[in-house]
This record gives sequence, C-alpha cells and structure tokens, in this order.
Amino acid sequence: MNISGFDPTDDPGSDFTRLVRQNGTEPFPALPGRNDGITANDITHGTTCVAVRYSDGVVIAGDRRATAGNLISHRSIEKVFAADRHSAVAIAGAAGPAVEMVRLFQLQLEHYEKVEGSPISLEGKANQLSQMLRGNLPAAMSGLAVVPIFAGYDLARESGRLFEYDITGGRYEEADYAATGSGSLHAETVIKVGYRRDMSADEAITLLCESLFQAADADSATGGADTLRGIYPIVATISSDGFERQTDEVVGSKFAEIADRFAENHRSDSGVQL
Amino acid sequence: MKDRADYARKGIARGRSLVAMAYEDGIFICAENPSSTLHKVSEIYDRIAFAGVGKYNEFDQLRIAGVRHADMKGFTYSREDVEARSLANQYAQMLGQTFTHEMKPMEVEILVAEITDTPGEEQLFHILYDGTVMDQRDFVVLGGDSEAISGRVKEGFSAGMSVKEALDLARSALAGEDRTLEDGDLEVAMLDRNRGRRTFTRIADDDISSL
Repeated sequence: MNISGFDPTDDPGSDFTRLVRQNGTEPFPALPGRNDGITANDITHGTTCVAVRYSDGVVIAGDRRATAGNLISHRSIEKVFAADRHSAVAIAGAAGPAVEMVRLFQLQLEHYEKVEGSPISLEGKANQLSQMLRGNLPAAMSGLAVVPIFAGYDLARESGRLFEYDITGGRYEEADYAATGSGSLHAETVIKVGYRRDMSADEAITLLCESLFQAADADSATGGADTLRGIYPIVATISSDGFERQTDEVVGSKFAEIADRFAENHRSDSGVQL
Repeated sequence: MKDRADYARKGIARGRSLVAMAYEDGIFICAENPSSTLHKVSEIYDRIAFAGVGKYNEFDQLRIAGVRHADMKGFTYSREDVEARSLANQYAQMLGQTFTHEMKPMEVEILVAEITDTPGEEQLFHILYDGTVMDQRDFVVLGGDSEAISGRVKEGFSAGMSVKEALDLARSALAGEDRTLEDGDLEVAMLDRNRGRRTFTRIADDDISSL
C-alpha cells in the first residue's frame, strides 16, 4: 500500500468515503440486476432499537437477535455501536450492509477528527450518516435496506439529540424518543406511555428495557433477555462524559425485575385461567 | 546533493526542536511551539503518533498522508495491522524520492512513535529530510539544535519516569542553560497506554501545570 498523493483537484480532503473510493473500492456497490432471487428470507436482518432523551443526554438500546426469515441466525449480534466519544448509532435492516455502514461511519468521524484536528459537530455527523444512506439507496431498493437511529450528546448545545432516518437518507430529528426495526411499533408505544421529560439515567434505562421486553414479547424477530446463555440487550448512555455501555449485570437486573412483575401478574392462581 | 542537504538542514535549523521519550505509561512528546493551534505533534492511529519539525506546511502534508495511509490500511485489513514500522518506511520512501527527484528537498524531520501494551517496547522512528530512517530507543530529539539537546536529555533520562519527570526533563533540555520555557511555549502530547483504544492525548497549555 502506498501513501497516496493527490492532485489538488481530486484531493479527498477529510472525507474518508471519498478516499476509499479513490483507492479503488466502492463502499456502496450497486447490485447486479433488480432483486434477482434475493428475498427477505435469505438475508440476515437485525431488529428493534430504541433511544430516548433524558436529563443529561440520551440512552440508546438494541436487542441482540438477528433473523433470516423465520430462523434465528444470531443470538448475540450487536446493533448499538459507539460512533465516537459522544455519539452512537443503532441499526435495523439488512445486517451485512448495516454493519459495514457503521464501520465506515465510525472511520469517517475519526478520520475527519484526525485530519482536521477537531471533531465534526453533532449535526454534521447526522448529515454524514444521511449521505451514506443515500449512497446505499440502490441496494436498499433491491432489498438491502438499512434504517439507523443516530443519538449523541451535542457539546455545543449541551444536550442530548436524536435522529431517525428513512432508507433514502431522509433525516428527522426527534425531540423525545426514537425507535426502528420490526418491533419498533410495540417498543415505541411503551416508551410513549412511560415517557417524561427530564428522566434520570436510571429511569430512562428502565423504560428502554421495558420497551425491548414488550417488543420481544410481541415480535418474533426481536430477542429479549436470554438468561440461559447470559445474553442481554445492549444499553448505553451518552452524556457530556461520553458513551458508556451499561454492564450485563445492570441490564440483566432490569430485565429480571420486569420478568418478575410480569410473572406475578400472570400467575395462574391470580385470576382467570385460560 | 550536498547543496540540497545543506538547504534542507538550514531550513530545519530555523525552526524549534522537539523531544520524545519513553515514560512509565508510554511515550511523552514535547515540542517548543508558541502556537496553540498549529500543532507539531498529532495523532495518526490508535497507538501511533506523528511529530514534525521544520517547515509546517510540508510536515503537515506528511501528517495527513500518514492518517490516510493508516485509516485505509485499518479499513482494508484490521486495526492491529496498522504499524509504525510500515508507515515509517513509506515516509522514508516519500522523503527520499522528493530529495533526489524534486526541485527542492522537504525541509522537515519527522518522528513516527508507537507504543504496545508492554512497557519497554516503545518504538521511535526518526526520519530525516533525505529519507534516512533511524530506529531509536528511549528518546529522540528532532530539530536544528538536536546534538546539544540530546546530550542534556541523555544526562537526565532514566527508564520508567513519571509524566512530571518527563516534562521537567524535556523542558530543561529544550531550554538549555540560558533560557526558561513557560507552559505557553510548549506543546505537550503523549501516547498513554491506559487510555483505551485511542491512546493519543494532547495536553492543553493550561493543563500542563497540573500534570
């Protein structure tokens, strides 16, 4: 590999995606033909991810299950990623392109920071992700859609911010909460009912765990807490102190509380027997 | 050739010098640099730092080329495949090529520094304007007055120094006997193996005193 020198006219500047392209790799390859034989059953999909604002920033969470059709293809896939110190991205959709997009996105943020000597603004990061989704549109049209959530702490505004996207790269800032994936309808309803402005981090974590529990309960493509194997959803807070993933003990205990309460309400001697 | 070498050396001697040394947590780098925005020391990759002396626009161009090389390599292969040695060789080729084939040589001396998890495995690659690469242990001095400064660092250096000891040594070595250097005259950064994935840290002028 050579250190590449560029003419001023085609210098990629601080744009890592362009640098990758100029080194001969297309990060978002157009697929040959239209949807030829590829169906949702062939592609590994990731599902429910949620995020909510709380008093000091945002909490973001995602389940661990990946499915291909009605099969569980992975039980411990990660769908929540730290994008950099103060932001995170959570993905739903085709797992392959989604994970690759996150990798490129993380590198783009780091590359810019190193070349320019200062990080991109939070809004700028949200726009970068938007452009990557637009680049992925041909693939999305043939079934490889990626639908992320972007969450971060805006150091300039001193508050947490949330962005939802569609497959065309449309970017929509959300004031309170965001959800994506097949279980998002259930998850979002739980959040909507339980949401209060200025929740503490702990309250926000509890609410997101509850939303994932209910999504997993109703949507077969969303995984819950897998106590047999010790696999728990990923939950992370982002505040002025940066991205911090909650330990499995913390998340596990939240799920245990929810499960206990659930069991209590559904015990056969407590009411109607089915 | 001799003219070219003299030209480059004179250009480098006009600028101020820089010291890098192994300390207990990694590599400590200290440059005499009154500007707090135009940096001589910067991050290349997780465990790799870059430093340059001489003509700013020339070593900054090399810095960006290094970041591109490292990020591309990490993207194509894996993060652990990015190494200082390969980067130093690339720089040496670039500088050598420029020295023999271009109108003028680059008036720079650069450093590629890398740490590992194990103390004592620090690597310091010192690369000259003509592409000469030197693999140095313990410490390295870049810039015009490097012999005198090296002598002073050598006297005070010991393995496993604390960050405070490293700073004091670098400050007095760069200043010499007749001058004193204030915090605002220095640029301080380190590769600190306790800082997680990205080990590079820059210390703001105001925070130097609290090291």
